[in-house]
Amino acid sequence: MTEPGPQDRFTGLYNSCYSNVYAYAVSRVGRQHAEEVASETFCVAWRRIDAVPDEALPWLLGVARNILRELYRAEARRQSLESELAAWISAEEPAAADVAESVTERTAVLRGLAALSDDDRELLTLVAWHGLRPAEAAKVVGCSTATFFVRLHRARRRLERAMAAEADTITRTVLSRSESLVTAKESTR
Amino acid sequence: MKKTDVMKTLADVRPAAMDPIDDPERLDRIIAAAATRRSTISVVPRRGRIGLGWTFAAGTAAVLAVAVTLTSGGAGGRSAEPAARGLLLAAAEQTVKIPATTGRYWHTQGVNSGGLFMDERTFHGVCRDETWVARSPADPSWWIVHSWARLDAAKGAPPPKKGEWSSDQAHFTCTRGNRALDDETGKTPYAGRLNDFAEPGSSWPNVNGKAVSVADIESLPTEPEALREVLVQWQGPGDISDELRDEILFEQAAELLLDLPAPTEVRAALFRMMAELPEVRSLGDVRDPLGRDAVGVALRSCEPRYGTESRVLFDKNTGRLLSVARSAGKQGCADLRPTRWSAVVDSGWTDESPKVPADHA
Repeated sequence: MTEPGPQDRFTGLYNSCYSNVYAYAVSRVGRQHAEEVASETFCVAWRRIDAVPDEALPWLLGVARNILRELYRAEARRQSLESELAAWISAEEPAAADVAESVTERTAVLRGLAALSDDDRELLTLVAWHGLRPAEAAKVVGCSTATFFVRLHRARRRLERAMAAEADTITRTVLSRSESLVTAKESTR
Repeated sequence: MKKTDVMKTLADVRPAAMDPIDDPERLDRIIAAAATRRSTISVVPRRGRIGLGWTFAAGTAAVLAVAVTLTSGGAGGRSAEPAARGLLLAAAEQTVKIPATTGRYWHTQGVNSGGLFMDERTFHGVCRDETWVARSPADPSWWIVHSWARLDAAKGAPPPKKGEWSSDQAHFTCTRGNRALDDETGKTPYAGRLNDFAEPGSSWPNVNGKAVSVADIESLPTEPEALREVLVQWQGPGDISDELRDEILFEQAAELLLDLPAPTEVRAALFRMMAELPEVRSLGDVRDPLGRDAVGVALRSCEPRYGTESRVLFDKNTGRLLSVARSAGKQGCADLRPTRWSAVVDSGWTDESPKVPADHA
């Protein structure tokens, strides 16, 4: 039995993990810079292929996390991500006549997510969007699994609270828009 | 709304835009780039020593470490630009003349502005707030927000096109530590508890994200070098460049001086420490966002993609910090625009009790 060479291993790593690293970068800094962050992450992996553990994804996301921190200052990250969050929310924004509960809830969760701190957003999306188990996500953010559970629980509670507030606002806004529509239609009759 | 699993709902709304486009040549490009150039940064995570997962240890011996390119001048010196150094050392001298006081609560009144700019439009929210930070952990600390104001698009800006953001969609959050008040859903006056140390990294007081106690702040060293060492420890582990380390030190000093209960001698040491940061430059005589006469120093980071600037504005006669203002640009520092500022109207120790709005007490 032969071991794969470094290039084969790297190619396997790229094929299995590039989209995950790209998605993580989008969720931290927006699409505008995700390609650059993901590519730089794999450049590091190429040069340090012997250091990449078998369980590669948490290691790669840890590298991407450091690249983000080094390439983009907190203020710049915040601005870039704000544009991204605005686009996601706009894509989910309910239409005036559409007050279906599921649509409202989907919008509320994104707006709630936008209202959280960067740290909370990272914890929640590592699990919900990037499919990491808590033990893996803990490796990415550099804490113990037990600490991660505690932090995730608190982030989740804060998201629920933010969501409840957002859902109430959205429902009221959409209802008021619907009422305006009805009034407008009636006045044209 | 019925109760559902928030993590499932969150998973369901994962945006489709998070998938990369197909690019058959990307792999070859990455290998070619990796083989022909050195990384610009040191980013390899290191294993924790006691099995707690990954950790990012501090160190200067990183194999790949090369300084991030900075286009602003002045790198290589061992202290701030002479004019900035003069202003900071003078502030240190003035600061030590202020008599030390004490009390049950560190009380600050401030004004904070945050906003965002998209294309040619700018939105800002301004909140007026106060903090009551208890000396004793047994007493409650409070954050009180008195009012919100929303400043819409800059004068002369074109109206939003269809599909663009409008100020109705923009919403702002006034924050202190782990407390936040959203201008859409929050009502003023608002009061929230602050000293929740069960929430690491997000409580108040905090310094650049690290939760600290009044005792931690009061016991900071009064010698600039020793103070710098403690603040670097507060930054936590991480392989970061010297420039970024200095930027964070500048931010830490600004936060401690602005509205945290640092004793007089510590405040003087913070000014002296800032005077030794090589990229700090003078702004000379300026007015702060509230229109007060001030002198200022700034630290810029100008990169090809982004530029940021933090300005620390203080009273020339007393060394009292008045405001911290931040700007950012998308083309290095060529298009810096103000993004956020915080101004302190009053701060000091008092034996009075917090005046919490009736329905929050």
